[in-house]
Amino acid sequence: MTQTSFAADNRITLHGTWSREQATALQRLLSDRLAQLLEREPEPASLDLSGIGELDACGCQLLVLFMENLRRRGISPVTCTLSEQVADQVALLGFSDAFSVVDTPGKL
Amino acid sequence: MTTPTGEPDGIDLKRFNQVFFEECAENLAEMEHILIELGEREPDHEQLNAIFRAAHSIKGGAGIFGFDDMTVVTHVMESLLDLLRNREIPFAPGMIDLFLEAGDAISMQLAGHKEGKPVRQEAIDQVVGKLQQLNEGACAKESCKNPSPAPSLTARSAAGSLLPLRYRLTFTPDPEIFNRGIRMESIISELAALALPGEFACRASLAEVPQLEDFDPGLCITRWHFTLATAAAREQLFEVFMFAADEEQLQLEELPLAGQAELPPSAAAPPLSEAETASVGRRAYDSNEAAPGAFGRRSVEAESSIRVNVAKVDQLINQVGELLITQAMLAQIVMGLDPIQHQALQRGLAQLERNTRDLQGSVMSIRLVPISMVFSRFPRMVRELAAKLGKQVELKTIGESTELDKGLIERITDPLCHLVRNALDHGLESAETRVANGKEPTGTLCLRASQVGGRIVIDVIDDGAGLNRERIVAKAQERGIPCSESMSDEEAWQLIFAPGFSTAEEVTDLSGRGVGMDVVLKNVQAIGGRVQIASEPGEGSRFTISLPLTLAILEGLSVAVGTEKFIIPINVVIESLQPKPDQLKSVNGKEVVQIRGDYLPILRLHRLFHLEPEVLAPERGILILVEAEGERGAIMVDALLDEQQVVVKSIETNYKKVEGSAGATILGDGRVALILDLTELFMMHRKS
Repeated sequence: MTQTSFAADNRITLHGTWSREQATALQRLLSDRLAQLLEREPEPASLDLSGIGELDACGCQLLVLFMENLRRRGISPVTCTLSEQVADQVALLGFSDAFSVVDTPGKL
Repeated sequence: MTTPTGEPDGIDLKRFNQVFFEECAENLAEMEHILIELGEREPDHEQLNAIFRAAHSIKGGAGIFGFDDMTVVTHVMESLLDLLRNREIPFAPGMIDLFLEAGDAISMQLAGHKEGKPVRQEAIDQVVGKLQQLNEGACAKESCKNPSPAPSLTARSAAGSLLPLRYRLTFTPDPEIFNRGIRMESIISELAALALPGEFACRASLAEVPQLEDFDPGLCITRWHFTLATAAAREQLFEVFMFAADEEQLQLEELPLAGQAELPPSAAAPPLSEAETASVGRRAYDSNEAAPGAFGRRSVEAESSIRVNVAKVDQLINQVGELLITQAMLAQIVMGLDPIQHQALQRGLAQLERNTRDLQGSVMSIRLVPISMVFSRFPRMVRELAAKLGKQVELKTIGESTELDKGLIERITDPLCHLVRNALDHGLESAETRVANGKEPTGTLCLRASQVGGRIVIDVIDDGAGLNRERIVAKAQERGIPCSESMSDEEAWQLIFAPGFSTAEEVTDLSGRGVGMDVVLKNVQAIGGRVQIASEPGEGSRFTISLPLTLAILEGLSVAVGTEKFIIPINVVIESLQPKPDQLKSVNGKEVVQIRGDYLPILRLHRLFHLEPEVLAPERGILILVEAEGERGAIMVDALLDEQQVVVKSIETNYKKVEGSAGATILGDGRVALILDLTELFMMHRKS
């Protein structure tokens, strides 16, 4: 079961499986979260993706699009934490640049 | 705040697996076709490439769609093929059989995934073991010559080139690629495996940045850029994307290789020719479609075709069927109107009828597939059976492009297999016997398909010993099957269709089990077909299967009995007549009509279907002379109504089996009419 968690501040924590099968629900959640963040004063956001277990190209693309939408609306992710497994997957898929603000697990 | 994301989107990835299953089956068939054609000959480079491509495509697809077990077999097979085409190991005739075995193993795995059929893992392991043994033997020899071959050497050799090249490959996928169930991770991993160590880079970028809220998350907006140094051929790079990419979605650019300037000019990679430049962005194997012997390449026709689920085609056919019924209803209504006052309406309806028929023809043609789909399985079967029986057999196929309904293709395969097995086992003689009888040592088995009138005719012809009339009649008498010495040859041949009949001296595992010919006949009859036999002692036999073009729509003659209407398939009707009293006789208490010296039984439909007729005396009604399965008779009806195309509906599905009927149809006035099954009617008449 995929689970996505958001903190009340600008810290965004994501869990679970990020794949095509869950993409519609994930997109809805990210859109809601984007709207919530836009209601606040623009300030840097931090992303904790270390709880993501599985990630496919579709899920990865969605996360990159989310971060790009954040940037274009003046909210720059300052840190982005990935687990080793997900970091490998991101690298394999060629998205390392997009997640370049990478922190090591537990350092957030 | 914690928010569950909910359930998956409900996209059914299984339907995308179907594409892989179909392409895998095609690749297996292609592979088998080449292997069978080879016999024991050594394949040339192009043939090896074609077999390699088929195995590689299956492996790639299996990896992408997550059927990892299939990648194991194909991988070892591919490795061996690679060694062969690089002449690193010599060809041995037994390899053809091994590749065929490997194909069978993959087919079994495919059937396991597709239909849930059991997979005999020990058989798979055995094939893999044999392939690995050859691979390892070759590697051991290779390591003697070159103690530490780099892992990339295999790929380099596979390229048929001595030099690695550096490429930039850009992949702009179809936006639906995620929805098609394609796993980009597998593709990238496979591509990376072709690169030299440390010589692979992948970068993904968004081609656009839409508003997240408006974005369809199933769509792919990512473009991938790869840079790699590889010894693999361009063709291999493209094949990685075989299931994922269309030709225009790939752009391949050759880059200067580090240190290339130091290489002697003769060893440097040749510059791209004009044709190669033009083909950048296309799959490599598409670049020379017309090349002779270009096995395994997709034809231009295949590239311009689409795959459609059969259920969708059937739905379309049903809808056209409904349209035909509606058109017939309108025609019936208009018949009751004044033709002068409604001239324009009638013209319009006539046009509608033409258009409907054209549409029906077009739709029906979608379901038509070439009989080569069935014929293509026989080369291997004949090869294996001939080897098992120690006979020399040449198989000829004629009319492979003859098309028939897909539903018929599926149901004609088993009967044809049985006829082919019988011909090999019982028809064709051994080489010694043939030579002793003044024949060529190699027997000929010919499969011939053609369209004759409104039917498809398939002949299975052998130049063997022919049927043995004496043995057939004797065996029939022994089994208590009614027969006589004076019966015609044609009648005697029909005896072999009796259940449990067999003249084989020995029961073999091929045929001769006494079951089969009756099943052949039943199966063929079940799809509206007939089987005829012609045979000459010492010359051979011909089994002819005649089938309707389609099962969905038939030309019928509508007739009336009392208040009911029936449809008689037009292909069984000989003529119709109103008999004169002196033509009507009684033989053994049965009513017959004398037609040109023949006495034909009269089948009163009202009696068979327990109806109240308007006409009781045959001389006041209409007799329709019919012939089915070699039996003739005269069906008595009140009136002839019309000749029309009717849409066949299963009465069993919608109601229950009605004896004497082959289905039902809906007439223009909305009423249901039974379509008569003449064979059953004759049986009912005999019983009565």
